Amino acid sequence: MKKVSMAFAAFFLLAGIYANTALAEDYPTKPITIIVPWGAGGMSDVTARMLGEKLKAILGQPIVYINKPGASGAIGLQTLKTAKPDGYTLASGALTLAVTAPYFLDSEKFKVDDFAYVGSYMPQERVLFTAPGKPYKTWNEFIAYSKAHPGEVSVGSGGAQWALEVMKSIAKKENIKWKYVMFKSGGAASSAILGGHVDACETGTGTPAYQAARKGDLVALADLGTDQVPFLPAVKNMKDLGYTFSTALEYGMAMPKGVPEEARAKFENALKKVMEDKELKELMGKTGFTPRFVTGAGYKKIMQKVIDDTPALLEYVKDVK
Amino acid sequence: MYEQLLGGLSLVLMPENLLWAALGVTIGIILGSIPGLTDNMGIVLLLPFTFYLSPIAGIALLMGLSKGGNFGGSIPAILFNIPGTPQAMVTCIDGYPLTQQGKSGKALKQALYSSALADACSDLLLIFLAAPVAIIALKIGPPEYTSIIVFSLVVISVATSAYPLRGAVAVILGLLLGTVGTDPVFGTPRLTFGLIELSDGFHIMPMVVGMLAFSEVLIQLEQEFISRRERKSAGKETAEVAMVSGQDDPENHKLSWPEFKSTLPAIFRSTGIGSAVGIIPGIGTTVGSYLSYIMAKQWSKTPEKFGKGALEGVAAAEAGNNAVNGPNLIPLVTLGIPGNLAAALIMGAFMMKGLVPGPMFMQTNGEMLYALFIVLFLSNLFTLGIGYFFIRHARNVTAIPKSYLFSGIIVFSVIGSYVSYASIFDVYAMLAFAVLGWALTKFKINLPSVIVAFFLGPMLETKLRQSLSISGNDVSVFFTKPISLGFLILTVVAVVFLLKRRKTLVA
Repeated sequence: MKKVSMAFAAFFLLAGIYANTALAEDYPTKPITIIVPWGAGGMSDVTARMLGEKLKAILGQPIVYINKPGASGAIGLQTLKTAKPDGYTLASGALTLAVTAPYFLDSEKFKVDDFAYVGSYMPQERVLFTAPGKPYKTWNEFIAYSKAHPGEVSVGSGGAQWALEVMKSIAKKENIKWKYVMFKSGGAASSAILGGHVDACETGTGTPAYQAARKGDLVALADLGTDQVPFLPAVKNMKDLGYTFSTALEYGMAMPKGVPEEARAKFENALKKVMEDKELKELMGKTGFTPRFVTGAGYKKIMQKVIDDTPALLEYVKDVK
Repeated sequence: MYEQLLGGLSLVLMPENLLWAALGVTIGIILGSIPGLTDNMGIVLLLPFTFYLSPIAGIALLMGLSKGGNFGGSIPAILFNIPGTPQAMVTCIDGYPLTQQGKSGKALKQALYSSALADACSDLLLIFLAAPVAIIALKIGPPEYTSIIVFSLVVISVATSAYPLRGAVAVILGLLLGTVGTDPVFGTPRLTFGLIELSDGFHIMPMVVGMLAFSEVLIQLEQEFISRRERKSAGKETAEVAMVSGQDDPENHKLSWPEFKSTLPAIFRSTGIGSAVGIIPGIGTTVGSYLSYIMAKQWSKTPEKFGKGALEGVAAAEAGNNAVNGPNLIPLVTLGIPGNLAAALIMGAFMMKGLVPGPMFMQTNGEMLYALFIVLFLSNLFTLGIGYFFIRHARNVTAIPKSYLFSGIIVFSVIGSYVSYASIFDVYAMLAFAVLGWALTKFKINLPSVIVAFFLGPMLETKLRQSLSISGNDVSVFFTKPISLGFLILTVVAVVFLLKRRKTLVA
């Protein structure tokens, strides 16, 4: 057994050396593995595969997808961290969510330098929805109603602890008492708000709740991020409303640290080219996605800010019940 | 609607679409019949491939796969007492005794016809009643979920063992195993021993494969050792070849019309139960078939035959799990909310085509939606035809020597537990569950009950705590909501009924 594994190790070592020497001009020379730190069929998975189809054509190598869900993406990101830095393994998805997960789970934290960033392809806003039959139609009315009825209004989250903590920071600032409910996913949260089981609930864009809001079956109260909500331009974000904390979900790709710069740069260029593809943009737009390319350096900055801000948010809301 | 239906028909009835559906069914049956590999895995693998097909062909392939897999799981369940897919575990209870009686062909045909019939009925429900059913599904909030799960677990623990206490032990053990992972509200790691692999709890696949497939290998191995020792002490050199009597009698492999007719009431009742379960997203096929089986036994004229090779038992289990499928797609097509993993994957396939399932889909892509419904319905015919071909040959697999067969099962158990999450930890977990499963059978603890409780446990906890956070820790929420109260009353009624009924059975 030991001999066999030694032989394997030697083989991979040689293969690695070969790949490294061949890198500069030829990368990529073999199939590329993309780790998706969420389940098959989810947003990260679908977008990774959409992009992958186009990346494949530019890079001239097949792409293999591995879904490694769990711990809000931390397990998949951990797998990337320990992967061989040869440019043939990368992770794709809402990596800002995965990198902050250990703060909420109180497990081993990531450092921004653990990874080499390829670039990001899509921001995602978290939006707070409510049913049309409620006595509040706007953010201000919602806050006023919540103040007048302490401990009566329930707010839910579609699987993002981060968004729930942002809601808590709002509660602290406005001196409101809410009841917090956590749902497993955007889908589960959508049926809860559509069925009227919670008073208000947040999910990301692209979920059934978001589609319902586009159709007018739900009311969007606020954007918990700092950007714009596609198709719902009137919704105010955290910056507009004057709150300190916000969510920043940024879907992108990263490789493990120590990866040859040529490989990373080549992939970054490929991603950039893909993001200019008209057909892809149209496809993503139809689904309610918001394609936007940010360079590797830009994505690193976003990740850095997210890592810096999260402990402050947790410190601020630690006494909110 | 009829205009859209006709439009859909013209979209579907192209040979290539039907071809892809048939291919999907074929792959599904093969994957489903190999323990450890499931139709969901097939969907994941073929997902990128659908990118190159037209939307209808692509979805037809995936839907066919899901249907084929659902039936395929019953083949090894009947032939070897090893379910090919988790939902087929109930089929083992009566299917395997039939094989031991040399009636494997009869059991397989019963499973096939029940599957296809129940699936077709549930598809009709999806096609004609999607909108009203979706309204019911939305009424099921956290408190209603909690009561429904409590009902299922109580019925399972009371009804599945001759000793209700053993049933309760099985359910509680399953619930305990389900608490491993991350606390759903506070995010605190629980019983993870600092292992990041356990932060989402045990995965279902290693547990099912370990407890039901690998442990069966251990049990057979143990029996082999015991019989060898006995032979040695008796002074015999070679094993007596145990021939299954009647294996060669063709009559034993036919399913006569009167026989099938006698199972029809069970099939239709189970279709009803399975469909009701399917309306509620997330409860799943395994619970559907288990509850159907339990109720079929209660309503049967010959309940004493159950567990000893009752055709009704096979019929109820298979009809119960296949009837879940149609309604399970209702939340997907009406609201865009996937009811199970297969639906989530199929939704992903839709989205990669730039199509968003949900309320707008019915308006903007109505014809396509009806085309899918028709493909779904026609796939049942493919299941019937292709399945028939398969079971004619599958019976011969029993002729493979056990040493080869079990080696194969060991290999597929390891692969099956590894591939879902590409995690070697899951392989170790599978081995541990195999030993646990073997030990539990010594205490006559019902393994399917453990698995169902494990599966429902985290959902029960999540929904219970969601209910309490919404109500502000007020327990009365379970009694003031009509649907929730109804299920709690039903739970009490069921317990009294089942316990009383047992007495009359013994007397």
